Amino acid sequence: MNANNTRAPSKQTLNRRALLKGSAALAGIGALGLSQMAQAETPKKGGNLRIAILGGGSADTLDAHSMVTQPDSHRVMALYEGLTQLNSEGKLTYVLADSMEPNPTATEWTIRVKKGVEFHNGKTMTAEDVASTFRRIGNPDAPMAQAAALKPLDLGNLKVIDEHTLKVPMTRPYAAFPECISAYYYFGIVPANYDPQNPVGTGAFKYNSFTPGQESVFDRFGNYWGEQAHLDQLTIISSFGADTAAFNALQGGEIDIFAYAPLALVKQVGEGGPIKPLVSKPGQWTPFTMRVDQAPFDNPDVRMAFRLLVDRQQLINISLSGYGQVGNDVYSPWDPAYDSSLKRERDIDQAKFLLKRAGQENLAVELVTCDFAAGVVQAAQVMAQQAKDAGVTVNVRQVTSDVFYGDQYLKWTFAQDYWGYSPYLSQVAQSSLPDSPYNETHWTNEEFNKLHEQAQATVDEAKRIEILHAMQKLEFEQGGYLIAAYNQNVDLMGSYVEGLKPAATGLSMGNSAFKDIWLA
Amino acid sequence: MDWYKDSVYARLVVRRAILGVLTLFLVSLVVFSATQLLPGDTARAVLGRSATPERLEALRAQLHLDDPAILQFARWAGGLLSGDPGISLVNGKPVAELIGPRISNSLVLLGLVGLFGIPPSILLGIYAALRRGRRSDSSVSVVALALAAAPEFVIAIGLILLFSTVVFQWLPPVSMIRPGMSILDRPDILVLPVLTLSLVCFPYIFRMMRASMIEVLESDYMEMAKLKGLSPARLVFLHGLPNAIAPTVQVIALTFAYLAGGVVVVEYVFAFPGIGQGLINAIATRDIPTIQCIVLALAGFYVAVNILADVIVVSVTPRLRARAWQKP
Repeated sequence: MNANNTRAPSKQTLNRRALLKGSAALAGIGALGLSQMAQAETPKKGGNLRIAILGGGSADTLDAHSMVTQPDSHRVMALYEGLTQLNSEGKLTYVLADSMEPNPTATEWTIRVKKGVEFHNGKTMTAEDVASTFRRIGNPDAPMAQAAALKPLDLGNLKVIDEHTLKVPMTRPYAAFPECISAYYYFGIVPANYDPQNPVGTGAFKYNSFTPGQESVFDRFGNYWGEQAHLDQLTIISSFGADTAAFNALQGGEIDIFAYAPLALVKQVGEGGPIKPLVSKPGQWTPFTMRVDQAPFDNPDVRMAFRLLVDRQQLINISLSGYGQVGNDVYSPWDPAYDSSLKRERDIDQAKFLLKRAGQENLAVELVTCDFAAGVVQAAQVMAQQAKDAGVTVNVRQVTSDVFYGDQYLKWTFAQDYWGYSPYLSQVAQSSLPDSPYNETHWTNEEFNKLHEQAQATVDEAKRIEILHAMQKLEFEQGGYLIAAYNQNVDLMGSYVEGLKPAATGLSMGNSAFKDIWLA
Repeated sequence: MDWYKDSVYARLVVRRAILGVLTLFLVSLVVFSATQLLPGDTARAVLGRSATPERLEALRAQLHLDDPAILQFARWAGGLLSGDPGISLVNGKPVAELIGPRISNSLVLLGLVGLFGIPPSILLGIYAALRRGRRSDSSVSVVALALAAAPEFVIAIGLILLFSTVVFQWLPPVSMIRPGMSILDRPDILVLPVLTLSLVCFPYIFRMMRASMIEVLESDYMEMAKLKGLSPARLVFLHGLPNAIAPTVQVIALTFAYLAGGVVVVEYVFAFPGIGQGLINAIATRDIPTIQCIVLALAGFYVAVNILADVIVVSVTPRLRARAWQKP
């Protein structure tokens, strides 16, 4: 395959183990310093790691394709793997695929699956399993969470060429196919007769037990195709209802990791103590969403005014305790196609001017917020304060999650949401096209849609990046997202938990790098 | 001459039990109606962020959520009458399997509070009554008032700070158990929750016991008994206590009924796998069969505790016993 003219990952990034070894050595000398080099001894085998993640409940699931909550996503990442996935840097890599190659028009993809990969039930993974996984996710009668990403696939005509080769015809060009299925907590490859009651995947950990709303236990999978996990057992506990209880449990040694901990606790645990923090790279984002088809935000001047009246750094300092990086109203900062020249500064005068031009001086709007991620409600309050400087009244209305995700979900005029990191075109497919399942801003723009079609039909990477820049520019100037920050998240863990590195995907514990963890 | 006593109790229990069953039916009806009024439904709750119209429709069809509410209620009630509490809408597991361990955990907790929390409260109440007006009485009373004023979670967090994290590290700060394991396998995790709840119900029982004991101690017959030269122990425990205990039994019953459903805060702080957290989970996901079963269990417990309290009160109050016999 020609590395230059496809969206698929380049060969260099494919050998993950070699890459990891190399970068670990470099990082060890460069960034980590001496004290951490001393700790980077040979990993010890064995032990049971107990992780607390809040947000679980009786709806907890191990289904490979319908996770909803944060504990779900990490459970699923212990069990399953996708054809491709984002590594901890947010870059696309092959996992269960050896290669994915498009035809010149990106209307047919040839997937070669890795040989010698065993499922937890002892069966060897084949192209047939990949085909049946796609059919399960896209099943029109019971669509899975990310069925929309498989919409371009002609699921009735998947062709198994041989045991390890699958031809996937598309109903429309789909050059971004590999990156659109890289969120492997939605696209794990499962065996042909998959039953979620018997959750079989190819991951480094296999199922042991599961009690919804309480805990799930996984054992090291002895026949894992890659480097095996160090831990014997992994326990994910989702029974905690309160941050304080989880933090107390960590202090009392009842758990080893408190994932997605409150940011303010980092300062409290200090340095060199029995508890250490792992601060991720910025990845998650919690945008303000303005509906571009509803007053007052149907006027692009009003949207721009709101984007100009926010003091982004102050918002990060207050609502995220400083754990974030300034965002510029465009998503996917780690994508090679991200246009980093797009910058936005606070400009109250310009905001006032635009509001005046729109006839919206003394504007008052309601902002609907909900406590679904760290700092979200605080961000709403800070933005309401900042808006006053431009003469705008923002009335913050906090609702419970059952109201937020109730009948008005995806219909709020002015609200917030949270996303993990996705590559640009994958994010576009989820939230910025007329048929996107989560188009909360109701953004629809003919020029944008045309560019998107072009991009999906362009296999030449350089050419496509040009198109993607044009799309980003459109969103930057007219879109309905106000992205003030890319958030960092924090895991607190016992000082004896080793092997984790900060990830850029918005997912905690180094992008669920469970198999790298060892206990000193 | 014992036969009529027995029949008094039998009649009391049977009548109360029939009323209790009626109460349970009404409760289940009210709770079911209330769940219908909540915004959203199981499908929305389960799908959360991923609730797209197509998925909502598919899941609603799968869970029969589009059936009329009456039909859903009848299906659940019919199942329960034939001994099957149903299947959780949310995760497809039998409700009995989901809430059974939680109910037994909560019962163990309540039992231990009854065992270790109530006798000291009663004894301290008697002690304070005997020492009424003195410094020891007022100091216990002040402590009781302070505890009554402190919210449950403040007491719980205070105990955690004291015994688990900041001052001493003697006890586990959370009460996690592995699913399938009995809570009694790790008695150490029960200490703080039991202590918290004991402290929570201490003031009410103590104050009621103290007040009614004072009243009894100042009565004429106690004066008479004292003049007859009875020993203080005999005086208090044989003559005073049976006469003073009736109002306290009522308070204990109320406290227990409240604790059965009201330990949510404590479960929250200690991550204790009890019935309250189970109910919150079920409501959050609109899991109607589970909500109904938990509420029925709580209401049943309430009814049972009240019947038990009435029986005890009747047995220590001859007046009531006679009346119950005369007017069946």
